[in-house]
Amino acid sequence: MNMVVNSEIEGADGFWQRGRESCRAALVIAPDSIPAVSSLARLTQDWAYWTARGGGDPEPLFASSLQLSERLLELDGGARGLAALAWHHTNYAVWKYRSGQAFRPDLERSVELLRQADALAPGEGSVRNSLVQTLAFRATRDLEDGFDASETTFEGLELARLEFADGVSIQSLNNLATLTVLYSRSQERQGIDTRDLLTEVLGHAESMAAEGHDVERALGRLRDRLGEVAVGSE
Amino acid sequence: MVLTGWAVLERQRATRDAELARGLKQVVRDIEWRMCVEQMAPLHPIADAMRDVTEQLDKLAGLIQTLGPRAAGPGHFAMGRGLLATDQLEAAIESLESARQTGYESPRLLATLGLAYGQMYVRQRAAREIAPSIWRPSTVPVAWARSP
Repeated sequence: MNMVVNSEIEGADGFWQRGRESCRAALVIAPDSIPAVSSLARLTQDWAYWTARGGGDPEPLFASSLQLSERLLELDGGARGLAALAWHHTNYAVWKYRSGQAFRPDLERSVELLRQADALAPGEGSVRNSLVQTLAFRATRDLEDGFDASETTFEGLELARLEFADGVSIQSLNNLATLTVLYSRSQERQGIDTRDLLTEVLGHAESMAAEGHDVERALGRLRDRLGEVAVGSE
Repeated sequence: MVLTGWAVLERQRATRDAELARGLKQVVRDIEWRMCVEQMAPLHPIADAMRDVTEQLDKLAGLIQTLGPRAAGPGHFAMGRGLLATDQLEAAIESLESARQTGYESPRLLATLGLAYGQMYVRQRAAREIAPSIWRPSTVPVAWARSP
C-alpha cells in the first residue's frame, strides 16, 4: 500500500501524471497501440472534463483529446473509436455551452457518431446510454431555446424504452424518466396529452421503489411533471 | 551433446511459458467477461459472482506463487487486469506496478496501468467534488471500458 499512500500525498493529479507517463511509455514501444491511444485519450478527456469543472482553461486539453480520439478512430474504426470521438465532442459541447460558446456543431457531431456506434454494436448498453443522454442534452437545449424538440425527444424516448427493456436498472430508468418528461414537454407545445405515458413510466418507477431500489430521482421528475400536466389541463 | 540437451531444455521451457501465458490469459478473460455480464444484466445481487471472482483471483495468486519468478511478470499483469475488472483499483495498480518492476513492459501492460491510474484520478476528483451532473453519462461506454 506504500504506493497508494504516496499518491494520496501527491493528490489526484499525481495519479493522472503517472497514468499519462505510462501511456506514453507504451506509445514509445508501440506507436500504433490501440490500448495505449485509447487509455491516453480517455485520460486526456477526463483531465479536460475535471479542469473545466474546476474553473481552469480546458481548451488545450480538448485539442489534445480531439487529436487522440481521431487517431483512435483511425486505428479502430469500430464502436470503440466512434464512441471515443463522440465522447470528446459531447464533453466539448457541454463545456462550450457552459462557457457561452456555440456548442451545437459538437453536439450534432456527437449524436451522429453515437448513432453510427449504436448501429455497429446494437444494444451495446453503454453506447446506447451515451446516445440517450446526449439526445436528452440536445432536447433540453432545444426546449430552452424554443426549438421544436419533437423528433429528438421521440428518438431519445424510443431508445430509452429499448434500453430499459434490455436491462432494467436505476440508470436505464433514470434515462427513461428523463426522456419521458422531455417528450411530454415537447408534445405539450402541440397540445398533446401525455398523462398516460407519464403514468405508465411512473408505474415502472414505483415498482422498482417497492422492490427497495433507490429511484427517488426518477420518481420526483415524473411526479413533478404529472403535477404540471394536471395543472395545465385544468 | 551438452548444447543439444540445453536446446531441448530451452524449447521445453519456452513451450511451458507459452502454455502458462495462455492459461493466465484465459483466467483473466473469464473474470473480465463475468464482470462485464454481471454489470450489464438487470439489477440483481452480485455477491455470488464476486465470491466466484475472488476465488478465481485467489487461484491465480496461488498459480503465480507456484510457478515462481518466471511467471511473475505475466502473472502480476494478469492479476492486475482481474483486479481492475472488479474495480479494486489500489490492488490493481500494485499488481500492475509489480509486473512492470519485473521488466515485463509490454504496451498492453503500460496501457492498462495508465487506465488504472486514470480511474483512480477520476475516483479521487469525484469524491472530492460534487456528484456528476445529469449530462455526464455515469458509465463509460462499454467499448471503452473493455480492458485493453
